[in-house]
Amino acid sequence: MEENIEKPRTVSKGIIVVVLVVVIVLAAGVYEFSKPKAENAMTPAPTAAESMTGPTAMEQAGAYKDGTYDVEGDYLSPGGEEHIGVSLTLKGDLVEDVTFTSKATRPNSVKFQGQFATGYKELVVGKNIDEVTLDVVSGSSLTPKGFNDALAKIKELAKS
Amino acid sequence: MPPSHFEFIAIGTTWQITTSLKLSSREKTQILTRIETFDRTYSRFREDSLIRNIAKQKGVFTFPEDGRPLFSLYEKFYSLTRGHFTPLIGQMLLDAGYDPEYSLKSKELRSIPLWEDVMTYEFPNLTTQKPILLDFGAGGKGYLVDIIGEILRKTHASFSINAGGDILQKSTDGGKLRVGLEHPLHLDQVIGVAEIENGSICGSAGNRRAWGSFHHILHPFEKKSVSDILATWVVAPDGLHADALATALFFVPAKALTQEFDFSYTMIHKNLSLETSENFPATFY
Repeated sequence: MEENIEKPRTVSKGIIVVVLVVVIVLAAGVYEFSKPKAENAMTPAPTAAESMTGPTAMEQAGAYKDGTYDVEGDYLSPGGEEHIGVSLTLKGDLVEDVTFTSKATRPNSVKFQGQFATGYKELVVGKNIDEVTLDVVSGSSLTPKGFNDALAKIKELAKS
Repeated sequence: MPPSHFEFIAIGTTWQITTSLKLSSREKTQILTRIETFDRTYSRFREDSLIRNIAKQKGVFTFPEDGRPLFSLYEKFYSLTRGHFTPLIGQMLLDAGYDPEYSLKSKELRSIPLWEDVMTYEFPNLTTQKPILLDFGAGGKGYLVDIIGEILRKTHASFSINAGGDILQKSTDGGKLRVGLEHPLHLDQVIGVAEIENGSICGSAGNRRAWGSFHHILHPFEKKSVSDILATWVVAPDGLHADALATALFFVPAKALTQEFDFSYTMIHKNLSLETSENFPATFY
């Protein structure tokens, strides 16, 4: 976890609201999957963000230091209480990264939280190839000279 | 001992074969000859191929032994993707401009026929009802990587083959291959690193073979290139499946394929969001 040694920057309160909404939505979504068909499942709406740990937060309303925050959400599934963990990294006024941790213990919850664990990452982040230790790179097939020449020719023609 | 690299250009892309023991001239010749034989059968880019012959007139055409697993896979994928993954896409690629001369000039895209209407494969023969242009790019390269892997396996316990980003690795000492996943929009970046051990990873994207309004992954019914997916990667036990699955994911959701095949995947949607199966062996940034 990084400590920002600069003055804490004012972060819009909206950020923490977004985080809570994300956790609530995740929790609600999982809750939805595990809810039985009967409409009057009496469990209340799930609550989230029971605890936050990380660099000193909330020094004044809406101010957050850069760093990684671990948020735990609790929700009530028909099988009992469950937990979701969300770890997010704040840098300046941006959420830089979000990681979701399944903390489910009941079989159904594990399965449904697993469904969430597939495909939650918002945006890909690129890193320069020179900065990474790699054996090979995989992507679309490298094109032969003939194709590259043809493309270059087309681009030239397009300019004229 | 430092590994040896054998690099060459074949089937329209760059190959690198890495072995702990240097390949002899005889082994290199064997590999290049095998690739040439494959190319002479399946390539639509050379005048003397069986594929070009099939495009001239209808008839009964005898394929080599290696045709059996390839047609079998293509039949299965054709069925699973309801005709989106099809070897008959060759004609549409041609019309779009991706022809043997790389004219990259598109004409009106003709509709392509349904498999069941124009051809039947029964080993070793393909019987056709009319001239058809086939293209096996969706799985052919991964398949050829497997074939070369079989040759190497006889005398090399550990090796890796990288054919333009489609990779097969065999290792007996627990060695893993670190494979960077190329950012489809920034070719000097990777979005993460996968680790491969005794398996294959294949990547697919429409970023390189792109011209005008097209790239090479065409939707056969909409008659345009697939636009909602930027890149896919699949890890599977062999190249044929990794390659075919990486292509199929442009057309169908992963769950249409996960019942039938053993694989993990990751894909980038057009909004740059990442969808990844839990068991995909990579860390992302």
